[in-house]
Amino acid sequence: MDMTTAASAWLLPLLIAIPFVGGVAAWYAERLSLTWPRWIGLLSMAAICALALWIWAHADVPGVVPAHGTPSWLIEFRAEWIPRWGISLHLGLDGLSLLMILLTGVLGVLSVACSWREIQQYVGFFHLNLLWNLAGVIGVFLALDLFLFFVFWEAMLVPMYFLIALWGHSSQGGRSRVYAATKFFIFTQAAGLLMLVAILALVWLHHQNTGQWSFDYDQLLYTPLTQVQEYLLMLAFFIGFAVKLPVFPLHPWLPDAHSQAPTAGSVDLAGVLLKTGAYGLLRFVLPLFPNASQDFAPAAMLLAIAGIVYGAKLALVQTDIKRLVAYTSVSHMGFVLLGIYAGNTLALQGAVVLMLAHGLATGALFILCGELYERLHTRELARMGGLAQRAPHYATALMFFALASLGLPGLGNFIGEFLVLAGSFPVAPWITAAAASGLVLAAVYALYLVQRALHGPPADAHAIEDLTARETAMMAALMLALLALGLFPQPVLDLVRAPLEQIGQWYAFGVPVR
Amino acid sequence: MNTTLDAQLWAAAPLILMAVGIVIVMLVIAGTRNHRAIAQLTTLGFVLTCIVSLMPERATEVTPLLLIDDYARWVMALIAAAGAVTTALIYGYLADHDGYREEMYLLLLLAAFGAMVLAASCHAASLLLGLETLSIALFGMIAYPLRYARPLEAAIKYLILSAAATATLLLGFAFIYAMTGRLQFGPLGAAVAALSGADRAIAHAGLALIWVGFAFKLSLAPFHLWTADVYEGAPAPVAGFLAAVSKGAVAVALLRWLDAAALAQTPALAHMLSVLAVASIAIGNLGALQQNNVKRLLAYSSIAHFGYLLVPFLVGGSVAREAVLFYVAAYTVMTLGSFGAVAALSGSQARDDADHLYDYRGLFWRRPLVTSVFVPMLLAQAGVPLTVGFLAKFYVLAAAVEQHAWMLALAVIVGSAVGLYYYLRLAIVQFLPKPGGMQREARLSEAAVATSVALVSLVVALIGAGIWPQPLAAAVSRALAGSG
Repeated sequence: MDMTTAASAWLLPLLIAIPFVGGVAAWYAERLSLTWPRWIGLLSMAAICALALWIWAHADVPGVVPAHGTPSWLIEFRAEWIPRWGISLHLGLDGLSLLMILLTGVLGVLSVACSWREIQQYVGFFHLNLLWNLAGVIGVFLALDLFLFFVFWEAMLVPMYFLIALWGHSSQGGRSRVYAATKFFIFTQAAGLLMLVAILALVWLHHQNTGQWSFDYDQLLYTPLTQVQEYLLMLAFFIGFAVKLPVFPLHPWLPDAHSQAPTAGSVDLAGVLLKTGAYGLLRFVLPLFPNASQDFAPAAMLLAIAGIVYGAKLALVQTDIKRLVAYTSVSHMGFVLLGIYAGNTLALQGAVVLMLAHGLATGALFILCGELYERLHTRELARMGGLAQRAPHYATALMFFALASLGLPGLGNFIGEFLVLAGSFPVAPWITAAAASGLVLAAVYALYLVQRALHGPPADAHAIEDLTARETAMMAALMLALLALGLFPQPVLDLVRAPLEQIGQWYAFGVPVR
Repeated sequence: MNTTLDAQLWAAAPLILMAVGIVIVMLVIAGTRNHRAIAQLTTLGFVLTCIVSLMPERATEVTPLLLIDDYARWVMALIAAAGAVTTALIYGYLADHDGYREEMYLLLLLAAFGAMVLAASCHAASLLLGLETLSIALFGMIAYPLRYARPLEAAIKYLILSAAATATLLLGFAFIYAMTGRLQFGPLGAAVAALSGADRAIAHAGLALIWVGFAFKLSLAPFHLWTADVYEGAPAPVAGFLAAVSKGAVAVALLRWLDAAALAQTPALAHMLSVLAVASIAIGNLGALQQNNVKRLLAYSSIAHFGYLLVPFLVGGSVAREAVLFYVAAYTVMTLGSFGAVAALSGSQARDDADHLYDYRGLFWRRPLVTSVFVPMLLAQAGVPLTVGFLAKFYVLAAAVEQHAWMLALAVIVGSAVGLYYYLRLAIVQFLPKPGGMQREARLSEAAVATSVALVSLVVALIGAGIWPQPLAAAVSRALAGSG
C-alpha cells in the first residue's frame, strides 16, 4: 500500500479521534446501562490496537536511514490551524511513535478491563476521562508541531487528575487522593510551562533568523543556536520531560499518585504516561539540541544511576505494595534515561524495548495489586502472606511479572536492559557498571515482594477468590506479550531501527544543514 | 483628521445607539414596569450595538475627545457582548427579587456606555468621563440588594476608594497638563520627552500618579485591598461585570494611553511597575490559596490575572499589544463565566450568594450544567490548553520571551503553578459526594433558561476560541493594525 496517499494521512487524526469520540459516547451510554461504557471503552482501545497493527503490517518500514538526513515519516498529516503564529495541525508517524501507540492501545484495553469490577461509581464519566487521557497521549506521540505537542501534553493531565482525584483511594491516616492528584498536576504543569517558555524562545529565535513564525518540528530542527542558548533551552525541555519520566530528584509526585490512583490510573500512568517523557527526550531534546545534549550526557547519566539505585533502595523499604511497584518504576526509568543519553542505536533500541516491556510488566503488576486490593481491602504487605496456597493462580501471575521486572532472560525486560547496558558500556564503562548494580537490587526487591506477599503464614483465615476468567485472560495476554518481546524482539527492533539510528546520528554529529 | 459631521455621526453610531437605548429604557420604566420587557429591550440594545460596532468603518476622530478606530470598535463589540450576557445573568438573578428590578438594567446600560467611552477615549477628559460614568453606575449596581448589609458595605467601599483613585488620576493629569499644556494622548509622549530638569521630574511624578490611579482601578497590588471585599459583597452577576468589563475597559484605555506616554523613557517607573506586576501575581495567588469563599477566591485570582496582564504592558513590542487585547477578551469570557456560575446558584432574595466552598460540593450531580460551565472556566483561568485561557497565557509568555523579560516570564510560570492549586480545589469539590445532596435539582423556569443560555454561550466561546483561535487572533491583530 502506498502510505503517502491522502486517504491514509487521515488515519492519524483518526487515531486521536477514536478515543475522544469513544469517551463522549461512553459518557452518554451510561444512561442506557452501566455495562455500555465499559464495552465502548474496550472497543475504542481495541480499534486503536487494530489500526496500529494494520499500519505496521502495511507500511513499508525503511531498513536504513534515508541518506539525505531529513526527518522521514511513514504517514504524515498536515492542516493549517493558527496561521497567525505559523501553527499547524502537523502529525507524523514513524516506527517509534507506532510502537508507542500500540503500547497505548494495549494498555488502554487492559485499563478498561481491569476496572470492570473496581469502578462502580460514575462509570460513564470514568471512561470519558480514561479515554480522553489516552487520546491526549496518542496526540503526544503523533504531534510534530511544538504548539500542538504542548497542547496534547497538557491536555492529557486534566483527565488524569480527575481519575486520581475522583476514583482513587485515600490511604488510612495518610494523604488524600485529592492531595496526590494535585501534586501530580502541579509538578507536571509547572515543568510544562517552563518547557512552553523554551518552545517560545526557540520559535522566536527561528523568527529572528527567517522572519517566519513557525512551530513546526521540521523547521525548528535547523535553527542555528549559540552554545548558551542551546544549553538553556535543552535544560528547560529536559526538566519538562524529566518530571514526567520521572528523573531523580523530580519524582516525588510519582509514589503518591500511584498509591492513590485507581488501578486503571496506575496502569495508565506507569505504562503510558511515563513513556511520554522518554519519548519527548528522544523526539525533541536529542534532535533539537544535539550538542548541548552531548555536553549534558554525563550529568543525565549520573541522574539515571541515582534514579536506578534510589528507586530500588526505596522500593526495598516500602510496606505498601503499590508504592513498592511505583518505586521500581523510578528505577527502571533510570535505565531508559541511561540508554537515551548513551545515544548509540543499540542503547536507544534497548531503551525503547525496555519502555515497552516495563509498560507491560508494571501494568500487570499494578493490575495484580488492584485485584489484591479488591480481595483484601489492603495494600499493606504485612497483612498479606501465604497467598501461594490461598490463590495459586494469582500467585503464579505475580511471580511471573516480578521475575519479568527483575530482568529474567527470556522476557522483554531482559532484552531492554541488556541492550541498554551493552550500548552504554563503550560510551561510559564506569557508569554502566554502576547501573548494572541496579539489576542486583531489582532481584532483591522483586524477591522481597514475592516472599512477603506469597509465602509465609497467611495473615488471616479468610478464603480468597482466585483469578476470575477475565483476570486470567488479561494476565495471559500480558505474559504472552512479554514472552514474545523476550524471545523474538527482532520485528520490534527492525521497526524502530531507522528512526533511532537517525536520532543517534543527529545526537552524535548534529543535525546536518539543509 | 477633518471629517464631515456625517462621517462622525456614523463612526459614533455604537455610542449613539447606546445613549438612545438608555433613554428609551428609562422612559419605558417611567411608563410601565415590566421586568421581562426591560430585559429584552436591554438585550436588544446590546446586540444591536455589538453588530454596529463590528461593521467596518474608517478610523474617525469624533471631536478631539474620542477616536473611533478599529481598536475602539472591537472593544465596544466585546463590551456589548459582555453586557448582553450580563443582562441574561441578571435576569435570572433578580427573578425573585423583592423590590424594583428594572433600574438594574438601566444602570448596566450606563456602565457599559461608560466603558465604551473609555475604550474610545484619546483625551484625559473623555477618559475621566468614561471612567466616572462606569464607576458611578457600578455603585448603584453593587448596592442593588438594598436590604442587606454586605452589598451596601461593598458599594461604599468601592465608592470611596474609587473616588480616591480618580482623584489621584486627575492630579496626575493636572501635573502633566501643567508641564506640557496637553491633555490629548497623541502628542503627549513627545511633549514629556522634550522636557528637562525640574519640569521633567514633575511630569514624571504625574505619570506615576496616573499609574497609581490605574493600578487602583485594575486592583494591582498594593492597591488591591478593596477587591476581595467588593467582589464578596456585590451581587454575583454584577461582580462578574465589574471584574470583566470595568477592569478590561480600563486596561484597554491604558494601552491606548501607554502608546503615547511610552514607558521606555522612564526606566525607574518601568522598574517599579515590574515590582507591582510580580507583587500582584504573588499576592493574588497566595491570597486565593487561603480562601474558602468562592467570590473572594475569584477576586484574588483576578488580582493575579492583572499581574499577568501587566507583563505585556511592561515589555512592549507588537506582540505585547496583541497579548493585552487577547488577554482582555479571554479574561472577559472566563470571569463572566465564573461569576455567572456563582450567579446561577444564587439569587438576590437570599442574604448571601452561594459563595462557600461547601455550597459547591456535589454540584456536578445536582446541577450538571453549572459545573460543566464552571469547571472549564476554572481550568481556563489555570491556563489549561483547549481553552482560550491557555492562549491568553501563551500570548503573555510570547510577549515576555520576545523582549527577553525572563524574570517576568518566570513570575508568570510560578504564579500559574500556585494558581493551579486553588482552581483545582474548587473544580474537584464539585465532583465530590455531598451527603444527602446527590439528587438533581431541576428548576425549569424562564429565568433559569436565560441564565443557562448565557452560561452555555460563554463556555462555547471559551472552548471554541481555545480550539480554533485563528478568528480571534486575526481580529485582535486587525484591531491593532490601524492604531500605532
